[in-house]
Formats: sequence, structure tokens, C-alpha cells
Amino acid sequence: MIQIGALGFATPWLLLGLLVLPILWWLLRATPPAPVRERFPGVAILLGLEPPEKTPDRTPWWLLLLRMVIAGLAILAFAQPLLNPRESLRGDGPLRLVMDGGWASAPDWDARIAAANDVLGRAERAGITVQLEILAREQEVAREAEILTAADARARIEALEPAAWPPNRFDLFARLEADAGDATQTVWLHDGLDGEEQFGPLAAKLAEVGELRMVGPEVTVRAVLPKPPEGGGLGAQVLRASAGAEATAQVIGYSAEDDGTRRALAVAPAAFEAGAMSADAVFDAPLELRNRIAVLGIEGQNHAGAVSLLDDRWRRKRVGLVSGERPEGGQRLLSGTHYVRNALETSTELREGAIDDLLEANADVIVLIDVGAFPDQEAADLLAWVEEGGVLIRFAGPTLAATADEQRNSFGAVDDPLLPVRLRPGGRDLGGAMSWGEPQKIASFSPDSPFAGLEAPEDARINKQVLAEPDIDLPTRTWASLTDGAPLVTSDKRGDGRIVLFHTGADPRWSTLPLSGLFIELLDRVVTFGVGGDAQAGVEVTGFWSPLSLIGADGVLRDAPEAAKTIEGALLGKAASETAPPGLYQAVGGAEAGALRAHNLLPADATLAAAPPPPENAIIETLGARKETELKSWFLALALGLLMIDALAALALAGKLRGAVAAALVACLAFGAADPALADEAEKRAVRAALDGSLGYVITGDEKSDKIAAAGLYGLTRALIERTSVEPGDPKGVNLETDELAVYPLIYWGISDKQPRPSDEAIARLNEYMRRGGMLLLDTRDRNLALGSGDTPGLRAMRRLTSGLDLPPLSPVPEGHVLRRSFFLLDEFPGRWDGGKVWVEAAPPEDIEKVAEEGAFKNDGVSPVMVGSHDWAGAWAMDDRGRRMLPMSGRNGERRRELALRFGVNLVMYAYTGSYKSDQVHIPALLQRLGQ
Amino acid sequence: MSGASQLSADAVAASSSLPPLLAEAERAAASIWGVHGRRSAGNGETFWQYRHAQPGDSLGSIDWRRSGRSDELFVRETEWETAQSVFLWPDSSASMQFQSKNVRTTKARRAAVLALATAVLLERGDERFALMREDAGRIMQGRTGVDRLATALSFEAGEQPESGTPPEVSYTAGARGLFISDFFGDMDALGAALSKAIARRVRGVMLQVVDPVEEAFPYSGRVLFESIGGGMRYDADRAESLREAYQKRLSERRDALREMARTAGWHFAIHRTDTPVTPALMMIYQTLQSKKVSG
Repeated sequence: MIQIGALGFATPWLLLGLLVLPILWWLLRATPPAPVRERFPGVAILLGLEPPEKTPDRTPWWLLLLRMVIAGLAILAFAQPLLNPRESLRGDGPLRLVMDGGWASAPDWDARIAAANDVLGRAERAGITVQLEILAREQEVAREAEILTAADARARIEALEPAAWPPNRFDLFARLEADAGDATQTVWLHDGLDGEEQFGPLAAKLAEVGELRMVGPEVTVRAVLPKPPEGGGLGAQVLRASAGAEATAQVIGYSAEDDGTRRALAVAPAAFEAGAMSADAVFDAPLELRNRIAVLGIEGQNHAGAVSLLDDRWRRKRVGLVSGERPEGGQRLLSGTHYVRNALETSTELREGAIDDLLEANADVIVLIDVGAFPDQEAADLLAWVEEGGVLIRFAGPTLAATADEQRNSFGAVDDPLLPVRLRPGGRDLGGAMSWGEPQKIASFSPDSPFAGLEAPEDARINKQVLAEPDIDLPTRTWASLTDGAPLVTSDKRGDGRIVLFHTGADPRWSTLPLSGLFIELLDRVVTFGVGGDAQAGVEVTGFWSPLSLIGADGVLRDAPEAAKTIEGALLGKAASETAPPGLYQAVGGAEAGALRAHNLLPADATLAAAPPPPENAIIETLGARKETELKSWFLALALGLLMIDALAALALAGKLRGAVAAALVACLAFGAADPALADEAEKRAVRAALDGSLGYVITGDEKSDKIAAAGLYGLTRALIERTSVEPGDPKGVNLETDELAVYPLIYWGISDKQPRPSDEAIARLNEYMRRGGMLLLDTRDRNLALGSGDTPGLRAMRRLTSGLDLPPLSPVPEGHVLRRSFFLLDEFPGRWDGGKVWVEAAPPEDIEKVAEEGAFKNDGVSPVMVGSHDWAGAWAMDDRGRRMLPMSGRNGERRRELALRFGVNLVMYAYTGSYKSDQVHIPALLQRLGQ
Repeated sequence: MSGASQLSADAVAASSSLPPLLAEAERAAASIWGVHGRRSAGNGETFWQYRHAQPGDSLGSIDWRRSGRSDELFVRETEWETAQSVFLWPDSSASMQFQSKNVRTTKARRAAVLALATAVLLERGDERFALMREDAGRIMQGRTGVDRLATALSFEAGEQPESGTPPEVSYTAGARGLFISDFFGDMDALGAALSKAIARRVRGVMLQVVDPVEEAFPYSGRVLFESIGGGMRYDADRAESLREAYQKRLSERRDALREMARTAGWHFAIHRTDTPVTPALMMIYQTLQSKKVSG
């Protein structure tokens, strides 16, 4: 094996043949060009004629060169050139195959398995045994290095799944430290991430004990973490391991629905600056929507790191409510607690109780309504809590005012550390019977205030308030004021926390502010603005926690298996590991019994680090990139092509080219004309399909299933023509890559595992098709489909084929869905198979109609996609003589075929008329019109 | 293939190729008008009429057998004939099969047309003709003779020698001969054949048919010349330099042929395949018709 750059030669001694080339040159030069042969009767006369001169023409130099190149290429070709050649493995000892197998390996898992199989294949050829190390599965795989045959190792690898946690590189390092083993060479399929700085030492160790070949991915993965932005709200941080160029990642916030599906609610872009390792994203969505977000995901990435769970800590602030009001005899509407409770109930987790209890319960915000004085101990606790980051919101009221009067000090003003400003005793009464002034309006909010942008309502009037002592700091501490300049809301920092004082009451007696919508907005702002940063940082988690659901390596949340182990709370705050896989955990017993806690792959302050440079003597390969390519055939083809050119040139020199040129031109034209003709054909088909309203089926490339799909749609078309006024033309095969999709009302896609994944453009066009009102019927045809769990070949194929497809969240067809009554009344949708569910786009829950208005649900609620496993095309299939092609299974088979056809009719009706049949709004108008 | 179907295939081939050749020959002959049979007494072999002897007739000319049957003297007159028979040799050897790019006929076909047209003209004068072939040589006459000649000429003989020489036939004494060839073959063989004809007092025409290319020699560059039969080759490195030498040799050969014809009392002429048939045919006919043929 000789290697020059990326080019190697398997039988390099043949290259000696190149030495012959100069001799060949000399020989070719000495030989005159081939003579023109002429038939000529006058030869008899020529015979014996001595030619007057004999100067043979020389072969032109360029023709000589061409021939030398041909000869050279032929020699190179037989030396078996290889692009990116793989050195054969050494045959002197076992091979250690190390696979990371962690979360970052999941996106290119197939490539890794292929690379591993390739290595094992070479090991098999070299006749050596294999020692398999899966770093992320240290606990599952037997610790003592087992010596496997290549075939056994391959079986293990085929059964291997990526883990949802990082690989544990330390254990292997430690084992190698103890005993280097007898493997002489190592292939390490790593993920390019340096978790806990174990990468470098392990690489060095592996290189030390034998020859090391490191296969890593071209691009490392990204990961997402929840990270509240400055000033509160919901945000995320996207991490990357290499400081590259500018890039943008979309972070999607999903809700977790009760049925286990998830629904995209909001999108936030995270823009990496050039050279930055992380980028922040902020969700700019209404609070209610924000609070529904339970999972963050990076768009287009499906691995455990691209998913981050949010538990209650991230969503709702814990707000404690303490009322110092005197009971008003059950008059709720006069109680400030009522208004504050209503304002905060939906967006926060509200608790009411004594201050002690609230401090104990780790409240983020404590609202004190008209609480005047505290016991000293309580005041100190409260102040300490504020200084640790708590937010104290106080509303004024008679009690507070009275306390302020009592606590006047020598300067005449109240100096309470739990108030942001000093209060003047007495307060202020406006517009009352005994006062001169009019009730004051609220002045518009200054742009520096956290309330900036809110609109002060005209009708909110302040009748009574407590007044702040004029102070040099007062303007900076004022968040809102009245039109006459008196402060309405003041705030001051205390340590990490903040104290906010509303200078008026929380009930409508002092002002009409609690009655206005502004009240809610003000509170919301104060709560979100006040609680900045990680409220949980530093909080020790104790007790035992058992997983409810776990994040799979593909980034999908699944119910935890029965065997999942309960873990110590202390593990939850740290990075996920094999012991503590990422997921949603529930506390078992202890103080927090029943509390939910999300355990994410990466801890809150994590970063992604790229692997350090590998040891110098290690051989570096890129995963999937270095594919050994045999070039022999290419070299020979090139030589052959040049040989043809040479033949043409020789013909031209001999003056015999005319016919040959014509033939060559014809060939060129034929090749050139082929493409436009194809494109033309596709367009014609589209036009025909549009005019006929033909049904379409996806050409999968699997001949048999394509035939059935075509026959199935033909059968359905016949049924439609017979039974309805829909008269489609003959069904058309749709090539996702080239054909226009928009002309088909319905496209049937029978999933075949033989179909290659459509290109990204094709997927984009399918997305566009669905977005613009097209309907896609996905049929896995393998009789049992349960989304979310279970795994059938058809489902796997579907996942593979539709990855990247913008599918909405799906749910089984609900009772009363239009599909059940768009033409026939149907209870079930059998195809060739019975049972199983048919999935359509999940209906929007009632309570978020606002979302619907905002356009999250397109197409008037008509599902753009339908997923089932019933092999409908098989049931519909009819040959051109009208005979059914496939038998129906089981009893009542023909009845089910009839039902299948009815389903098909309903489906086409649904595709054409959408939700028209469910539109009850117009029924009264229609009845009235009928009556006339 | 069975005998019967072979026969029918031959018949089809014959009927398809016979008319064009014959028609072409007829067309050529038709352009020469006003020449037909003498139908008058003269120097010939065939009995024409008896007539009364007149003063001046030699005694030797009186037919005594006829005169004895009556009281008067009769003279037996024979029909006036130019030539008793014409022996036709259209060369069909390999070198005659040549046809250059811008010419519409091969030399052999042109030779066949000329021979057949001559036969047509001869038939008009009730004269006789024979095809000189190894397997033929029978004297033919009349319309049937023309048809048979046409058939014979239409059938390509199989393997042909590189260049032809007139085959040996038994000439009728005093007959005429028409040799049509390119005369690129052996001169000695031709001379021998010619002297055999002279021995039987046969005179006639030697017509050299050449393709224009054979005179112009328009070749250049490295050319490998091959004879039509493939038997002879000449490798010319620079063909253009050979042109002069070739043309010189050609005219030398022609001079030799002319000389050979002159000494034998034959007429030598040259015909190029890109020129019309008629002048050559005219020349042939007039030469054959004249009482004395000479070069």
C-alpha cells in the first residue's frame, strides 16, 4: 500500500509500469500515422514506381500525449487506486473498539454503527478478535473486557442503542491504568465533546497502550438549557462546542399534553455571535402560553441534549400572600387579598399563610397586603430572605398607615428596612369630603420604569395613599407616580432581592386601581421583573426521587420503565449519567413528597467543550467522510473515454471522420435533450392531474408497493365515480423530488422501508403542500401503529422517511370528527387490517382558542395529515378489469373492504370540503332559507 | 435453398437487372439513328437474289446451276455485309468494377452498356454478334440474341481476375472485334490475344474505359493504394509527389496500346466514364461499319 495524499494504491508495484511510458513515447513517435486506404485500379501502373521522396508524416505531439495519458491511466487503474484508503488492521493482537454511545452520538448513530461495522469487517478480514467498550453503558456491559469474535461484536453493536447521557470515560481510563490489556490497536468512535475533561487523558492513555485511531463527527451537536433572561420571563441558552461563525438556532417551546404528545407553542431564535459558544433565546409570548411550555427543544435536532424539560420551578413563581386586613365580614369584593389572588392565580403558584410558612416553602415572592408591623424575628427573617433574592411586595392600607404613624422617629419619618422609601406619617386623602383635591389619575410610566410601555387607564383614580418622605433617591426609586408627581409605586434593592411598595391599597376603597386591568399587568411585571436569575441556584435537593418519564436518546420523552431506579436527590442537580438518566422525577416521601422535578442532561451552568487535540500519534478520521472508494473503474472509464477521443482524432487525421462526427453529435444531442424532455413530462403530468383532480400516490421506488398504491387509488377512484359526484382522473404517481404536489387533493404515501429518505427540498415541498391545504395519507401498512411507544418496521421506516416533515401533534380520530361523517357515517376505518388507530392532527383544546386565533392551527382545523397502518390501498386495490387484487383477512373480509372504500370516500370528501360538514354555524340560516 | 426457389430468385434478379442495362443500351442506341441494315446486294456470305446477267458481269459470277434451268444467264448475288460477325469483349475484371466518388457508373457497367448498345445497333442491321467469354462465344442474332446478351452481361461473373485479357474464342474469319477494357493488365497477354484475332483476319476497336480519377490522380498524403481485388498494394508516403510520374506512365501505356492497335490494323480510342455514352458508341459503330478498319 502506497499512499499519496488521499490516494492510495493497493498493488503499487504495478506503478513500475509507468517507467515504460518514455519507451512507449519513443515507439509511438517512430511509427507514422496510419495511412489512408484507397482502392485504386491504377495500382498496376504505380507498381514499380520509385517514389520521388519518402518523408513519412509524424504523429502530432498532442495525439502522442493523449496516448501517453491513456497508457498512464491504464497503469494507474491496474495498480488499484483507492481514495481515502483504509489501512488494513494489524493482525498481531485483539482490536479494542471503543464507542462513546452517549447522547451526542445519537444524531449520527447510523453512521457510527456503519463505521463500527466497517471496522469489524476489517477485523474479520485480519482474523483478529475484538474487545468492545461502550463508554455510556459501563453498568450494563460486563466490566471485564470480554474478547469477542468480530461476528459476535457485530451482533452486539447492531442491538446497541445510543444512551441519553454522556459517556463515562473515566472508568475505562481507570481500568487501563490498572491493566493495559493485550489489545494492540484501538479504534475510538467518539462524539467530539469533552465531558468533565476526561477526553484528553483517555485519548492519551489509549494512544499509549497501542495504536489509536480516532473517528469523530464533523460537526458536534448543540444542546439547550433553560435560562431565564435578565428581568424574568422564559428563555433558553443554546450551547455549542466549537466557537464557529455566526449561526442561528430556533428553540421551540412545547407543551406536554396529557395524551403524551407535545405541541409547539412558541419559537425563540438563538443567534450565536461569531466565536461565541452559547446563544440566548427569549420567548416573547403571553404569560399563559409561556407557562404551558414544558419542554424546550432545538429545531431540527433530535437527541437528548436538544431537549430540556421545564418543571414547575421554571414556570410559575411561588408567591406567598399574607394579609393584614381586618376581616370585612365576608365581603370579598372589599378584600385586597381577593384582587391580588385573582391577579396572580393564573400565572403563579399562589400560597397563603403565615410569613414563617411561606419562607419555609421557598416562596419567590411574598405579597404583604396592608401588613404594618412584624415581630422582630420575623422582620429579620424576612429581610434575610429578601437579601437572598426574595421579592417582597407590599400594599398600603389602614394598618400600614397606622404603623407608619406609630413608628415616627426623631426625624419625623418612618425608617423601616422592609419599605423601599421612608413614609411620611398621615398619608393623603384626595377627593374626600374633608379634602380639597380631586382624586388623582396615574401618570404615564417613565421609560426607565419596569412598567414602561403599559398604558395608564383614564378611569383609574387614587383616592387615598401613603406618602413618601421627599428624598434625593426618591425619583430613582419611583416606578410609577400620580399625575401630580406623588409616587404610587416605589422599589428598592436589598441584597439580591427587592422590595416593592404600592402606596395605595389592594382593595377598591383607596383607589379604583385594583378594578382596572392595569393592576394585573403591574403585578405581573413586578413578579417577573423582581425574580431574576436562577431562583433555584444553591438549593440542595434531598430525599429520594423516582423517574416518571425519561428522555430517550432521540429526545423523546417516554414513560419510565418499571425497572427504572429511584435515585438520590443530590444527583438531580448534577449532569445526567447512567445512574441518573435525564427525565422527569417525582419525590418519594420526604418534605417534598409528590413534587416534580426535571432532571436535564446538562446542569444549569453547563457548557459544551470540544474535545482537546488528540495525541500526536493518533490517526484522525472524520465519521462518514473517509469512505474508501475504489477508483479503478473510474480510471479505466476515463482511459476508455480518452481512447474514444483518440479514435476520433485518428479518424480525423486519416480523413474519415464525417460519419463518426455525425454519430457523436447525434449521441450528444440525445443526451442533452433527455433532461428537458423529462422536465417537460413532469409538467404535463401535473397539468393533467390538475385538470382531472387525480389522486396522487408517492412513488416509493418499491415496485410492488407502488403497484398496489396505484391500483388502490384506481379502485378508490372507481368507487368515487360510482358513488359520488367527485370524478377524479386516473391516479398519478408522484415523484416527491420533481413533481408539482399542489395539484393533488390527496396524496397517499404507503411507507416502504425500501424507499430512500426524500431530499430536504422534497421534505420542504411536502411541508409546503400540507401548509397550503394539501392532505397526506401516511400508511405504514403493517397493521399496528401506536405512536409514541412501540416500534414496528413500518413505523421505523416512517420515522426515517418523514424526519424533518413538519407534522402537527397527532391524536387518534376523536368521536364526532368530520372524517366520521363527511359522506358515510363510519365508526371505524379498517383497511386490509382491522383495529389500530388512525391518527389525525390533534384538535386544539378549548381553553386556548386564542392560540387558534393567532394562527397556530392552519387549514381551518382540517388535518393536513392522516397516519394509519391499515394498508388501505391494499383493500382498495383493483386491477383494470375491475377485479380486487388482494384478499381481505379474517371473517367479514368483504364487509371490511366495503368499509375501507367508504373510508376512502369520506377521506376524499374531507380533503375537498374540509370542515364544512362540521360547520353547524350556518344551519339556522340554511333552515330559514329552506323555509322560505 | 432448394433448386426451384434458387431459380426463381435468379429469375427475379435477372428480370430486375436486365431491363435497366438493356434500357440504357437501347437509349444509347436510339440516339444513333439512320443506321440500319443495308438490305442491298453486296459483298457478303448470305444469298440475296438472282438477277439477269448483264454485260460486264464476269463469267465467274454467273450461277450456272440457276442459268441451266432456263435460257437466260443469272448471276447469284449475296447480301452486302459490313462484317459477318462482331465479337464483343466488355471487360468485367476486378479493376473494371471501380467507380470514383463523383462518377455515376463503374467502368464495367459502362463497358457492358457500350457492348450491348452496339449489339442493339447491329441487330437493327440484322448483323450478328458474339460475347467473348470463356463459357460463351456463340454467335447470336436478332432480338433474342440481344436479350440473351443482356442477360449474359447482367449476370456478374463470380471471382474475377485483377485485370482482364480477351479470352480465347474461335473467331469467324473476317469478323470484327470490339474490346472494351481499361487495359491495365498485362500488355503481352493483350498483344497475344490481338495477334490471334489478326490471324483470323479480325479487325476492330480497342476502347479504353477509364475513370476520371485514374487520369487525374487527385491523392495526397500518406496513402495505401489497393487494387480492387486487393491483390496489389502500393504504399505511398506522399501521394501528391507521385502524380506526375503516374500520369507519365499512363500516357506511355496509352501510346503503347495505340501503337499495338495500329500495327494490328485496329482502332484505339479512350472513353471516360464521366462523359456521355453516345460519342463513343457512334465512334464504335462507324468504325465497325467502315469496310476497312484501321488504327
